[in-house]
Amino acid sequence: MSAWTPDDPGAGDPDALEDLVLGLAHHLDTLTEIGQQIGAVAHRTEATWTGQSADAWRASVAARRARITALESQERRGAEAINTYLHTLYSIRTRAQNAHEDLADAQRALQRAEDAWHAIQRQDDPDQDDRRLALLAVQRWEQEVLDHRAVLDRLGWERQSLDDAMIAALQADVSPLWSGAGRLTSDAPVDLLARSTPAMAEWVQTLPDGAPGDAAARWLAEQLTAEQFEALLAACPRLAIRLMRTDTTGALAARYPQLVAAMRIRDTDQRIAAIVAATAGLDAAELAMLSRLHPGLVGNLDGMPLQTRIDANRIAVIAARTEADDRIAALLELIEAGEGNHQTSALRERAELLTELSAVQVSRAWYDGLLTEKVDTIDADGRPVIVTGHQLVLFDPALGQFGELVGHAGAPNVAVLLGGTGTEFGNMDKQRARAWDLVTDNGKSLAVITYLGGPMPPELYQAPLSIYATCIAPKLASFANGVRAVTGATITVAGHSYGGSVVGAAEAKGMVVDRIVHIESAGAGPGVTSIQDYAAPDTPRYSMTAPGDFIELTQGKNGGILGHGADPDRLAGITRLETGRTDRTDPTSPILQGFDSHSKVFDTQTDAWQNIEQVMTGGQVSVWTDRRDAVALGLMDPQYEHPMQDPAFTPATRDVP
Amino acid sequence: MSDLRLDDAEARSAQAELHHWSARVGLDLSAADCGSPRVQTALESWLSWQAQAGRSLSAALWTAGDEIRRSGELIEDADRRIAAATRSTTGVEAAR
Repeated sequence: MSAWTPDDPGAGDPDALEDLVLGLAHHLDTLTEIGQQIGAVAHRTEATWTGQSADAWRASVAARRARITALESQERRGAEAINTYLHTLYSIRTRAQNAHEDLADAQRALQRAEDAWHAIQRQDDPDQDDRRLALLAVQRWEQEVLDHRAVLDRLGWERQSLDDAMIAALQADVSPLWSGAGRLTSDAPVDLLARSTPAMAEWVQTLPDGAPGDAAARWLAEQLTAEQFEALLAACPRLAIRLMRTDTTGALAARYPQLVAAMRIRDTDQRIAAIVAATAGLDAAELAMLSRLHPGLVGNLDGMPLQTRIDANRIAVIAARTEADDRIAALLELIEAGEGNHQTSALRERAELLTELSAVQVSRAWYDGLLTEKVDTIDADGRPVIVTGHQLVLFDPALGQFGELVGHAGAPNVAVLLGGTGTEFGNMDKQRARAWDLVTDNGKSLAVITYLGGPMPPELYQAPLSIYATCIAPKLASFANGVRAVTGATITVAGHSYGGSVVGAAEAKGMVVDRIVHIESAGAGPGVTSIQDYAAPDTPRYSMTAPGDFIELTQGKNGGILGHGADPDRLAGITRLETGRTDRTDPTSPILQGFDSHSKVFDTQTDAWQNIEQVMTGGQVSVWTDRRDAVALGLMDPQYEHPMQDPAFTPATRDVP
Repeated sequence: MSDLRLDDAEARSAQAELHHWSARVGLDLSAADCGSPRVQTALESWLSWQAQAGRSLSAALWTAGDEIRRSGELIEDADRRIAAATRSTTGVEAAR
């Protein structure tokens, strides 16, 4: 294969290219004929074969004819581009040959002029006119040489433009992934798509590491139906790892330029708005393909539709499980290799490997559960159903991030629920159970996202540290603002215990949602002294703390790296909610109080739970009544320590805006 | 009401034709020397893309041929079963 140069801008084999065009023209005639002939076959059956099976068959033949037409159009455009290319190439070649001949003539003439000039110079007393004329001749031919060189340079630029136009024309009809994969896709077996799933899986396994290999895997994934893709993913889970990687071939930017431009915006809210706008024009099938081909990009991208994130994160979990399998295999190999070595260092290393093995096995089991467990959800008709696999809207094991949608993705009310100290991957199932309690009675009208934005204080003694809250705050702000922007739902963000401090910190970092509820909250947020510290001071906010909850000891403590800001129960502009009785249907039941109340507010029979649920669904809440006020107004019997201990006491209620 | 007259010969004929055209859809051309490595890569990529699309279409046409043949067989089989059932009923009635 030749390669043109500035001296040879007409390199190439236009005659062979012309043969290629003739071959394509012949094939185009064949395609036209095939389209007509199979149309005739279908038409012929109309006279004798009717009914549903006949209609279905003829419809399938019509669809195949349409594919022939599309293929024909693509091929015609390509053939025309090649034809234009070869004719321009002929022209460049001819002009380059002429320029070279002119240049050679000019160079020879220049040589002669220079010889004449030197001969005159060597004369003892040269005639000044001869001398001037000789010099003029040299200058003239020097200019001629320069001019002819300039012609060649211009032809080089012309060739460059011609190449660019040709590449653009050829790539217009080819998937950017196909182009990004370079020779891998070009060399793929032509019947790859007609092969069995195991054969496709084998092809994926043989792809080399790196961007072209990933692009080739993506190209194959793009060609498959949903069922075929699932089968391939099951046969070759390693495909998930490839799909998770960042595309560096430019295929993503070529296919989704608006989305890629949106992602580059630095301001969080502007970026989210741009991402929502970029995806608004994509239909469900296109979004499904986006999540399939670029799950690592969209799974945790704030502003993406929830279903797209869920689809993408399923692939992310498969990738994580596959990587865990790889690591387990590698660790077992290392452990086996070290057997019999009783040196201290070897034993220490073995202990470390065993510890890691145990941790990876736990993670692997968790990933598997996320994919295979039967979980409750709500279907599009609002009915509780059981599905396989969790609906993850956030999944990043490396960063400790996790978010699960519990309920229907199209719910008009969406709550984001944060747990407290000790919340981690291993106990997110408990958060899910709380979320499902809230969702189950509300059908399609409420969905709850259990949210973990990063490491939380593992133990109670670490709970006074505000660093965990301040680290998660900007992530929660972006996440919640993204959910609000893309769903259009009414968003409530609820923080339990330490989670309350995270919620307050996120509000201070720009989170703007429709409702906030602090549940047995550690504080209004590190450094928060007033609702004016929040991005949207007018957001309706609620707070509840049961009497005697140990969290009261931390509320209102503020200082440096310790403490979580003002006490949300007492902060002006926040409505304190009643935590009430342990059984809201029984006025004689005990009130919710003491250390246990910290978590018992999530017991579904309590007044506290109902208040949480009513905030999330925009219903009616019962508000806290100070004992002194209740006694002064004669609303309670003064013998009781708390108004709700009086069976006759009924708290005031308020509508949730 | 469906007219299920699709005789075996007609179905076989359609199948043969579709299989014949299926074999001719494919594109088997190789790239010529373009004189530019960038264009060469793009041209080879385009030709293999077209070949892959043609191959996929070829498989689809082949399947369409098989589908009509299978329909013909199913219809013929159903016709035979109905006829057998009818003859059996007629025999019972005649015996009565």
